[in-house]
Amino acid sequence: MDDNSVYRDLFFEESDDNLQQLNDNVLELESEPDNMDLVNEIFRSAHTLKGMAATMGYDVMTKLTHKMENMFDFFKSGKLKVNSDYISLIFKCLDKLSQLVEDLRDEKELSEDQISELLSELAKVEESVNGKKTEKNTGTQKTVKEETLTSVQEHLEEADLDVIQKAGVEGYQAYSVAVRLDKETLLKGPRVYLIMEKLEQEGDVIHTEPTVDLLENGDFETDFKLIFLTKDSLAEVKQNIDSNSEIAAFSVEEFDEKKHYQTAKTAPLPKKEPEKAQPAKPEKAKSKPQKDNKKTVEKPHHSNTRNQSIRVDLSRLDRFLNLVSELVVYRNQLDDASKRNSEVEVKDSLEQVSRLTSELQELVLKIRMQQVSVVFTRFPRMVRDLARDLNKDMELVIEGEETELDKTVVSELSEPLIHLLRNSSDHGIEAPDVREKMGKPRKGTIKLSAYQEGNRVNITLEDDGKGLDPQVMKESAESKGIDTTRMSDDELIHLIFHPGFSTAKKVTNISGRGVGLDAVMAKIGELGGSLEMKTKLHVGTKFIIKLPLTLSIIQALMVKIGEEIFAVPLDVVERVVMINDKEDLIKTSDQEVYRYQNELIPVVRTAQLLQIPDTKDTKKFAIIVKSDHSYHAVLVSELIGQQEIVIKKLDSVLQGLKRYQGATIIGNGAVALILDINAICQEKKVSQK
Amino acid sequence: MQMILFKMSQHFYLIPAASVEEVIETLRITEVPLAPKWVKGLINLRGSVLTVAGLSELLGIEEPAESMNILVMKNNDERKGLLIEEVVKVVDVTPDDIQLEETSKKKYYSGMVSVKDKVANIVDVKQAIF
Repeated sequence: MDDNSVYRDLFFEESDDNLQQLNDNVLELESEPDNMDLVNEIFRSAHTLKGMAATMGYDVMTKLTHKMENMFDFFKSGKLKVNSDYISLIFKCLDKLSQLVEDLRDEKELSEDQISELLSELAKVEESVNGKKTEKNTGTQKTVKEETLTSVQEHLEEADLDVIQKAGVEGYQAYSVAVRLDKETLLKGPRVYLIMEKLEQEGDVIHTEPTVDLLENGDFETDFKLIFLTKDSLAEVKQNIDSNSEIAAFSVEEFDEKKHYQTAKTAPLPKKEPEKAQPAKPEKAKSKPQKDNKKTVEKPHHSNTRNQSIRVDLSRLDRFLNLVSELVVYRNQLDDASKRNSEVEVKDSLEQVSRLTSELQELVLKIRMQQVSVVFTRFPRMVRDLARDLNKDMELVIEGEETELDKTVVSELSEPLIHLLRNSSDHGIEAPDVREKMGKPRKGTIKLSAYQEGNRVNITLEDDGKGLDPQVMKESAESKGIDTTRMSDDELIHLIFHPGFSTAKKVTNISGRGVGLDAVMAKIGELGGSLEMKTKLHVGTKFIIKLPLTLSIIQALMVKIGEEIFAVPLDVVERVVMINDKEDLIKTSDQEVYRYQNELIPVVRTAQLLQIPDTKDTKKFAIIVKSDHSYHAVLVSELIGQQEIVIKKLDSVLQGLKRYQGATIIGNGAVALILDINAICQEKKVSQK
Repeated sequence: MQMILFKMSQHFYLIPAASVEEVIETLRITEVPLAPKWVKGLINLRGSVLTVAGLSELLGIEEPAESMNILVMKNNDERKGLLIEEVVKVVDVTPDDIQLEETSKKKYYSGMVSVKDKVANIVDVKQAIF
């Protein structure tokens, strides 16, 4: 399948899209069961998916999709009423399909065993709709169909008989042949053509059922029959047919007028064992990797690091190309001008180059941005399933899904969010009866919203559930051997981030295995973000995730502390005031404050905090920053100016200091550190406590 | 096995060449306040910011008067600088040349090699800096 590899990536990408679309639409269908447009759309997506899988030769996937498609067909024709059981079944199929795609991505072979359970469930539904009629198609296909494989010719005419008789005189033997193609055969027409051609080299095919035209167009199920005149022996004919591929089963018999010449009114013959029933080929190969596949069932997807790709609007790429070609033009001009030592022209060209660079920079950032909806879209479905599993009534409200974040952040976001969502559904939202008693609506609400704030994006997850009870936390912590003496309520609540802590009294399979919020916290930290939690007993819990908008370029204020140059991200800066160290700062017994707009705000002496020798100069600048809803005055010795800087990541040792967001390279080629103002202000608070 | 022979305050040291991506002349190092002592600071290596570790601090030896070279060390995708006094040359060392492998009590030393009239310690600081 090497030639397929080129299309594999495309296949995965499109399958993912189609599956997501199916998920969304099916979810919608549940709330609007009578929306036929929706059913049609679903049908189309499923069909595309099936087509793609079939083209790639992924038989197992094709089969499942096909059966699932039948369900939609029933919805469409009104034979089946949409209800949540059917929807759940469809979701199960979609999950299985996603998993199959995932397995394929990991280059595992698929096995029919993976889908047999679902197939039988689907078959049951079909049975209930069509009665026995569909049983043939849906039951374990091989056996049922083999019973019907017979070489009885139903439409043989007198004239054909005549031919057979005449040929018999000339030493030709007539054989009645029935062939069943492998049901996964894609190009049935050409396949039949090949089989027939092979036969015709040895004799004549004088009759086919269905007709030759239908056969060659592939307009039949899997079986066809023919009468073949040849001088070959029975064994030779069998061998001839058997040498074709994609045949599931066939039977050859010497033509017997009594037996094979039948009009439609006579009943088919009793079951006839096909001489050589070939099990469908793919099945043979698939029995081995079964074990591996079983294992992956339990594992959530995304196991390997795969090549990441991103879809880019073509117009953006075009613009990219235009900008680059423009850049080349100015580079040549620049070359030329510098050769001729024309300072004015160099300057002109440079101006253009700098304009182009910033445009390119902006564009490339935009290309990297992705809407959070990429992640969010899966969640309504998840909450629905959770609600069903937990017998709770709840709803997920999503806001601001069009908020954009850097692609790397977006793709890493789903795991922590799933964790939090599960937590809220499982531990947060109460059972409907309990909610009613509490005077809350029976239906719980979980609100997931994303919005931009400065160069950060905040994602909040809020539930109107029971909130965290410090007392329960205390008991739970103590039972786990965590010392809680002298802990404030706030500290008790934040024990939830303690590794190995879980508040659920019962361990459910939804959440509560003890690996929980500490992992979420770590993940968010990895992405350069922070996680906060606010909770009120019986009112709800709110998680706030703050993430950097982009990992690369920001506006910054360049400052000097002592003799060192640092960058302060501009988005936290409210304003800058010049102060006199001796006069403007008020020393109280425990801390230093600055009067800002009739408000006393704490002073952060950065030089001290960073242990840098400060300048003797009393003239200082106070950068008024807003951190966690309160102002701080951050003192620096000198202002250099505003500048756009490229953030470079620090290694883990320096990240661990929690003082710097990163580093950047300034105009003279030196490295400057970017201060993490939030962390510094927080540190200040903690050290005061 | 190729090793890089370098000098630190009158003593000689060897480091496997395979762990070194390149040798550069010392660049301007930006200090990082509050960082561990062995972190000398950050350098700009052709647009990338690299953390530079001081070998003298890691080994607990006297700091050379002048550090002329930085070894750019590589571990998977991560790169770090190692500040040393001066690279002498690249030498071929066979496993048989390595002596006294187990005797050193100090961390990071893994044997000695005689290179002509000099004796050089093999140092392995990979775990310490990555």
